[in-house]
Amino acid sequence: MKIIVCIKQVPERDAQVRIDSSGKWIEESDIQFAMNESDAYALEEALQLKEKHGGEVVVLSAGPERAGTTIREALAKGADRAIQVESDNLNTLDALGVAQLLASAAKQESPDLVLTGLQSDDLGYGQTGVIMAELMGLPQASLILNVEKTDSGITVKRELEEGWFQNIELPLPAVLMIQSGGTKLRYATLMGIKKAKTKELRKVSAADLGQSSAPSAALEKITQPQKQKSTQIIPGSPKEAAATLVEKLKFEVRVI
Amino acid sequence: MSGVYVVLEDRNGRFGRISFEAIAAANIVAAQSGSKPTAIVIGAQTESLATEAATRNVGKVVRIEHPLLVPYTSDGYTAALQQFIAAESPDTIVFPHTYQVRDYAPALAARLGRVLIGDVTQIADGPVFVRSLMQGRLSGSYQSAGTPTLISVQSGAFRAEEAQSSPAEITTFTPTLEAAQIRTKPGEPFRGTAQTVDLGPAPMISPSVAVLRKKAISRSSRTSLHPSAQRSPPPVPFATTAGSPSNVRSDPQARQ
Repeated sequence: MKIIVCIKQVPERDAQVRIDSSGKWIEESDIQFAMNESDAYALEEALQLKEKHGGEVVVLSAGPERAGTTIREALAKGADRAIQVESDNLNTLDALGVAQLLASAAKQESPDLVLTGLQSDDLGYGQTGVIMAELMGLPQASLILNVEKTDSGITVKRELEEGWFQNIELPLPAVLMIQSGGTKLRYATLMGIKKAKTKELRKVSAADLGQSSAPSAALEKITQPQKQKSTQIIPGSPKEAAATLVEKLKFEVRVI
Repeated sequence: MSGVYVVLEDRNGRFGRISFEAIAAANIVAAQSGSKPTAIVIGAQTESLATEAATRNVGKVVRIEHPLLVPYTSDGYTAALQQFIAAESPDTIVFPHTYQVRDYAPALAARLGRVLIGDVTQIADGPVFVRSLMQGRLSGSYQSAGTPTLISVQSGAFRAEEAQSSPAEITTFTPTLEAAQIRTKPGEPFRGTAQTVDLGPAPMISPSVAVLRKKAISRSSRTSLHPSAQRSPPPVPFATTAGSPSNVRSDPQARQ
């Protein structure tokens, strides 16, 4: 089975992000980057499928040059080779534009399965895999915790809301969006890190893959969420005050 | 025809609160053009749901009905809504940001050459749609370029529309669907209780999880000589259905 795993490099979870001078993105110079969490689970699922059924795991990532370190990490964990779509202005594209680049690169590989993480920790669109499936004309399923190969294709365990789950049968090829936490992540071994240096990392420019469509939704500006401290005295009887308090906690503070 | 439409979600024959919150968000957008939103109810037998939707401060209700729309599949919903949108040419379509919507709305948007502005928490004049970035550390303001605009609204971000006295008009739209268009085969949803104990029939539940954990720590400190075993007590031997591992595991909606 030939599996493509889409991986994104994102700011580390505890990075202190600051808005840049354009007001539309963050200062990247003073933060560390890491593999997107749910993408790491997608990679793990792919490696486990390869160990059970054989085949090849190809990492696909779009991003600037620095994304190479995250790609090497995936190779060190056991991916066979990688493709990097080089672009310095991915943050100016919308989810459709990025998915167009990835789908175009993935199509050239004719994979049996494409795995992505459920959503990125930076922009959090949670759409790349679903859009890639649409663009590639493949069936898809999201929020996947487990994948089992069958004679006719695959059966996946999908998470629903409120503690419910569902098994779904899909034919191959297909695209799956993997949920975090479905399995245990492996660490790269010293041997794996050494081998990763010699594994194939093919770079393609975004221009070679065709033009992405103009964004249909533009990120106009980024702001810090408003933080304010204030004291309010709620007037009225205890019953009225309690009702007002519940109203405020629900719809103003949004904590209940 | 144009205007603002809001897609409501059937949860076992009822609407979840988030559907009424989506109507409230649709009313904010519609008010900017002095109109009322049209509610969309999708399924195989939607009469009673449509009747309820008609009382929730909408201008009109459309039932998109077809036997192949039950059970839910991404393929079925995407194809049905695409046909409806082609017929009605809406300006804006509002969705509740649920697991189900995340599964099909990005594909629908891509099929229309558009992108979903997902997980919206505020709507300002313009309209400008605000959503969280960097896992809530920043906020992003988005504007749509062209139509239709597709947005999904975060649970709890808008005050749910209450029932009104005068019901809106209800019409039906029948999409053309064939079984071959549905590429996935969903199974029956099931509870994630395989590793838990069903406490439903129990007349009394005792002792509490905290007591069990205390006992486990005590047992561990008696039987293990390794200091790390005392610092990390073994897991509690059972979990209630209300707090099963699947329920307390990270929620992608909450992580945005």
